[in-house]
Amino acid sequence: MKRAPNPFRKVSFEFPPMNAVELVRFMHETLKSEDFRFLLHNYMAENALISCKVGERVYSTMFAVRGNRINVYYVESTLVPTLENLSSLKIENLIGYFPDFRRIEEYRERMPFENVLLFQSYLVRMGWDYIRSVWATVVNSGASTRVARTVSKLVHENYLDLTLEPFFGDEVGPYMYLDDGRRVRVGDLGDGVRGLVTLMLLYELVKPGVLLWDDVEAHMNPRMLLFVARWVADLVDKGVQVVLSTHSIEALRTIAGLVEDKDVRIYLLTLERGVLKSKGLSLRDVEELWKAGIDIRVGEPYLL
Amino acid sequence: MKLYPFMTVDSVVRHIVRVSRWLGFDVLVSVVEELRCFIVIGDGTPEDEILALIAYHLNGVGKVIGIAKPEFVGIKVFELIPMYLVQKVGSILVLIDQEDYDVEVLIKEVEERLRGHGIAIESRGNKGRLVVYDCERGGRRFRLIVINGLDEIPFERHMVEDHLLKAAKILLGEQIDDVFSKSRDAKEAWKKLYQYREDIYRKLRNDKSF
Repeated sequence: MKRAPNPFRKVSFEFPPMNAVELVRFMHETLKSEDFRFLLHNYMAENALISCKVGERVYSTMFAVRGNRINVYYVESTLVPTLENLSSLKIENLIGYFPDFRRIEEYRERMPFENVLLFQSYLVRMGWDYIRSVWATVVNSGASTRVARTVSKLVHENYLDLTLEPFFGDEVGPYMYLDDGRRVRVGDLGDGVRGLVTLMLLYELVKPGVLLWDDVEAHMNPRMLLFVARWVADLVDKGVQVVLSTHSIEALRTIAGLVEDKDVRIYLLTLERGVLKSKGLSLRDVEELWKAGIDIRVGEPYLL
Repeated sequence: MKLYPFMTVDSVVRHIVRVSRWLGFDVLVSVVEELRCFIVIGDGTPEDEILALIAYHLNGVGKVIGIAKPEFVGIKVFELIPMYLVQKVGSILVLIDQEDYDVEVLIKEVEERLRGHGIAIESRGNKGRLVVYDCERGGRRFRLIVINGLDEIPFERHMVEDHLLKAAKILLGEQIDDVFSKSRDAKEAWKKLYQYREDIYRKLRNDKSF
């Protein structure tokens, strides 16, 4: 991804349509805490900076509090900018702002992003709102059948298709349609299978260039994890860039192990007093450290 | 002294937590700012349990020490020493059993493995079964300390259990002589004293001089 994060980019499946930063707000929201100052360390900082270095170029998104609003700037450079550089930014660097910290004013649609699909188990309901809104495409493209039959390999049931039907009333809901004619609500599946069905359908609909999957191991048993690893390897073979986050060493070893020859990188991340630190590792590094008695998940004093 | 475990799912950590809970202290930390020392556990239990007690008694020092339990056991752990030379780590303590080696042979093996991994030994100090090396690797100087067993425990093979048997002898007196005479090594003797384990640990906790 040769771009800095653009908080104003439209995300792919959320329903109703949202900007990326609105989605993050939705995911982090506690009760009605809707203020965008969550972007700033301790909600008090005056500035925040996200930089991505790709080759010789540095792509940065900067947030700066100006009175009652947060300005958002985008800049490309050869050196990683500092927050002091904010004073030298020009109006053409401004890509949008948050007036009164609560609303979004998109100043300029810049930094075209690859088609990105973000998924985590918290977004299953939102995903289904979207899937339902494009149900004709889901069925007529064959996606519902493909996903149902694929997921059958993971459970002791034989699913033939997905359907959208009423459940004791007017409201329709999604079902897995079994070979003996029975239906099981998608909501009654295990959390792991439900998440996977949802993601696979969203993938079929969005066909993203980049898949971001947060907490990939959530609700998954080792059998599912192996299946996911194979699916991810297939996506990588198709040219999809896949970015996974995990706290599971099993998930890391299983998935990274299957795509080891595909330029896989593992990054250890830790947030330390508002600064996100990272360390790039190979799977071999992870294995060597494990042998030495160092689990990278708690290895930040060693690695960062 | 507090301990930062680099393996949270390993039995070493479970044992430290278990002993700490028995004895009513907490020596583990979840976050560490700066790492200056590593303890490498070359063999598993009861090294880990003893470590918890030592850490408790050195509580006032306030330093945090990383502990690692490699997949390798015994003398092979010395092959991993370069991996622990990170950040400001200037001391590495290795706990190993003597196994079937003569002490001099063990020391020779240790030194060969260190040299084989590009570590120059600048000086060596022996005090019984405690060996202290001042080392250098790639311009980096560090101290390596190797510990195992006590000579006064009457077994051919020496190991960390020697220290616990010495404590058991002081606490329980002649009643454990039979255990000594009927055991092949300190590990076996310590296993036979399983029922006294908690009492011995409690005594070690309550009496620093002991």
